[in-house]
Amino acid sequence: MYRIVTSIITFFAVVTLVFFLSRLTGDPLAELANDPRITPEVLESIKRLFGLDKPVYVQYIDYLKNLFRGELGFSLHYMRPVMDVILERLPYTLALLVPSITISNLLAYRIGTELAWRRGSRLEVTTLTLSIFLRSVPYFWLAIVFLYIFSVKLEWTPLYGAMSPGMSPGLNWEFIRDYLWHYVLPFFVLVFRETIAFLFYVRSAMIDVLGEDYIVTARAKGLPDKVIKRSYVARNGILPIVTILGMRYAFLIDGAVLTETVFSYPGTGRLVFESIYNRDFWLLQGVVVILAASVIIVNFIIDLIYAVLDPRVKYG
Amino acid sequence: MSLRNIIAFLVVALVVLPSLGYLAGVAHAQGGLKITAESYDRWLLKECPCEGGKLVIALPSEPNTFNWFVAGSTWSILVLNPLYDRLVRIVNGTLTWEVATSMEYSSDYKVLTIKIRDGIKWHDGKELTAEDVAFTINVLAKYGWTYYHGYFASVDRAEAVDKYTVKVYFKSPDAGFIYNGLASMNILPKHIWEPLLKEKGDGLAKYAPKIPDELVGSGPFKIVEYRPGQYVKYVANKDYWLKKPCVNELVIVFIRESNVALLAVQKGEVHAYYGWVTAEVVPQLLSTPGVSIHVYTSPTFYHWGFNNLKWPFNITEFRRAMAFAVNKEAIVNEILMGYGIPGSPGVVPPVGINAQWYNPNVQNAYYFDLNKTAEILDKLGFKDVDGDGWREAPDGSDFSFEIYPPAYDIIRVRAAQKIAEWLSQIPGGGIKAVVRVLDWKTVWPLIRDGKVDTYLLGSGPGNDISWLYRRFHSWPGGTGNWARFSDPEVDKLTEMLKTTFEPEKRKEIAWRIQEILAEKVPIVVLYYRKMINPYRSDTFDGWFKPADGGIYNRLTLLNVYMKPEVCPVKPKPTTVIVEKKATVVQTVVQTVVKPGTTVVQTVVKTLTTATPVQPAPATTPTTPVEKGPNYALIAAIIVIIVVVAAAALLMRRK
Repeated sequence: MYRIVTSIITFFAVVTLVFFLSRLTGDPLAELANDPRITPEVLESIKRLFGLDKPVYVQYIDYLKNLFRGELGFSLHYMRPVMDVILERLPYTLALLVPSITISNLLAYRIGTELAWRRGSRLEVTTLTLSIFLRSVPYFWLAIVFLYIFSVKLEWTPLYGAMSPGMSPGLNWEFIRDYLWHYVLPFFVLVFRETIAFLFYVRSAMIDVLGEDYIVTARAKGLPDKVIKRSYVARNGILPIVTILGMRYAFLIDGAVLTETVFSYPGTGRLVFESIYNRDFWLLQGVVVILAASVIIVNFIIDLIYAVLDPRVKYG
Repeated sequence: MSLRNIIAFLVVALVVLPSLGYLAGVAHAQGGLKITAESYDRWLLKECPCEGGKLVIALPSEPNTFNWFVAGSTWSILVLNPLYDRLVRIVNGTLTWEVATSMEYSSDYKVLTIKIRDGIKWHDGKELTAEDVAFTINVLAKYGWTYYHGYFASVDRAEAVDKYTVKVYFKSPDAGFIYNGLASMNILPKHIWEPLLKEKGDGLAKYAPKIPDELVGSGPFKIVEYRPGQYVKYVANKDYWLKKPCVNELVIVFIRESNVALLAVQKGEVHAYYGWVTAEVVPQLLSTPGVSIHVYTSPTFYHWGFNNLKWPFNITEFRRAMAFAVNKEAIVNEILMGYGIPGSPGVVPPVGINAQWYNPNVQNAYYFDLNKTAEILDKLGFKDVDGDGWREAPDGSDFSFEIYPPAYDIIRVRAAQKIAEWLSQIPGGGIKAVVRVLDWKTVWPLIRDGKVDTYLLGSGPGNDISWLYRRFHSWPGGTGNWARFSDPEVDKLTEMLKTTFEPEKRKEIAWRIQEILAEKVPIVVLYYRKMINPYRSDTFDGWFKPADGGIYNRLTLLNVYMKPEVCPVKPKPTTVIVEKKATVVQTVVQTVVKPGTTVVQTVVKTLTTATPVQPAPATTPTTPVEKGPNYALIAAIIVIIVVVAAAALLMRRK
């Protein structure tokens, strides 16, 4: 119960912060002012139409009222309700992010445990060096290199987009094939990057566990390595990883922004970037509301999982 | 009259008279003023060497709306371009008749009578009439939220006199109306938009028209599909009144990363890219077989703007000193790598439609000479009194100012650094200029509110020379005059530009304004950029390449055709083949039928008219997945299986 209340408070704090911060950063209609077509009176009437002429606190109250009604407002840039704009892109982002997060985390969990177990071996050193190298490479550049290899040189995958123009989405083989064809590279790049990024957390968490007394005890009992690794190390090491997972979920947004930019993939990640660039406050708020809500919900769920994983933790 | 006067008169006459004939000017008729303009005929291909095929154009950004009344971004306007017609259009720097066939002003310039072509059909089959034209003008004139309202503010109302005649009544004469207003006005169908306007009123500004039902136009292409963030798909309007487009389909895709877009052109997936391309990549592009570039000069004037209200930029001599400290040729050659032309001190660009008003006499009013700068600064009292190598203000205090280039444009950032460098090299002590690189949206309000000393800005001129009013008139609360320049003579002359209709007279005024601007230097125009559009020259031909515009334009859309060697359709039909082809088409109709696609309608039409038309549609709706997907598919499946298997293995618990 306490958890729910803090979640709600966090949510409103984020919404308020974004509302006021975004308004400090510039004028959404700035680019119109130097447009040879736009005269001051046109600018005024556009402002009036979007309620930009009202004082900020009135805009804020209006905004909260709308939020309670479940309305996210109206995008100034796209000239459409924010909800519509987000909804037509959200499926692409979810379809890209959810499987890639799940798979990359499972992979990282598995590989990280293995690496911790074989600490000091040649395999571990090589893998770690390689991962550090790949992690230091700017992700943006990495994605373009992938694109160059697979799309330009090998011609396995297309260069841009989420589907070929003229495909009508539906449950037919042709569309699914086309969709997967476009999907596989951004998906793979995201998994690749997330796995490498997450690997280090898993490894260090596992190494911590390896030093615990109960591992020594287990070894002393003569338990086989496989059992120690699975049931003692991996199970106990999972707690800090789950915590980080909740945080990484929020950080994934930047991965989504870059992936969607390089692969010209329509999605909400790119929308965040563009709404900031365009100073499209309403759209930005809309996306942030949805993101904040989802991050808070994910963290809430993770807390519940936590309680399952570690019986010592209890929330009332 | 002395001999000198006679010679002077002859010289003026020689300059003015030929320009009259060549320019899309205005000729006198009895009573009012008859507008003259060019016809499309000289640009259009007589017939298509190949009919069919799909043209793919990439844009760097997607349209924000399909509601043309509020189409704010360039990308919206570009995406709606194939859809709608205009009364007149500026093609390659000249006014060209499109839907209109003649225009005439009344003698007091308060009524404009427009005759339009008959027989133009909207995509839904209704006829385009004077009613549609009058409706569009009236909406733009009446509603302040329409983005073109500024160009129509002088209009009182428009009336359809008969089916093909429109009369526009003005509150006050407006000499820029045709070039500014009508040449950029898409004619929208009244039968679609009037009910919407009645229902929503001002709310129409926030309305997104349904695609494709409410996006009915009369242009060469019809929109069939839009996927946000991905592409817009069009099919050719085979009944287009001006000329049938040679290609069957047009797809505009949005590729945000210019590197990716260039790869796509090099690979041939995209046939032209209409976005920012830096000069550095040109050699690489040109070394790709089948890729060419179209280079054109954009009329946008990139300038070093001064805040003319702030000391010391309120001193004309000081601004002149600054103008002598800028090496425009060096900026063009070194920073733009030759892709630009040095700015004119008269501001008016020597390219495009503005070329007719350009005054070449002022071009060399300033040249790079730091000694001259030093001389003027000495005279003004800016001297290095304490010997630290920097000049102090006349009162002896330290002096420096700031230059604000926008962070997103590396060219302007480098130009600002160069300017600061030149200023530091002034003999007898430099002037300290600090370059501040900030996000444009942060700087912009500062420039707008007059809070910065100097800035680097790119501003677009209007189609009609009366844009000088907006940029240099000292009107109170005015926007556009960011330099805050104020000069009584320029005020008077720019006002005259708005109400003077005789072309010779306007040119005279424009030339005089340019002389004053060159003398008073409210801003220093650095350069006009040359833009680069890569396109495929191996598969497509017939590209229209105007000197002042991009490769994606109306004439390209009409003329561009697939080269015969790659043409999906083989012409030269004989009677026997015609029959065979007819059967081919028939089978195509059966196999291709997808409900609601326009392609099918076209096929049926070719059958009923029984012309020996090639089975073009047969090749057009081929599966969009042309090559590669099988490997990719296998790879995708393998990857997914491996990944799923790994995950499953991992999850297995004993």
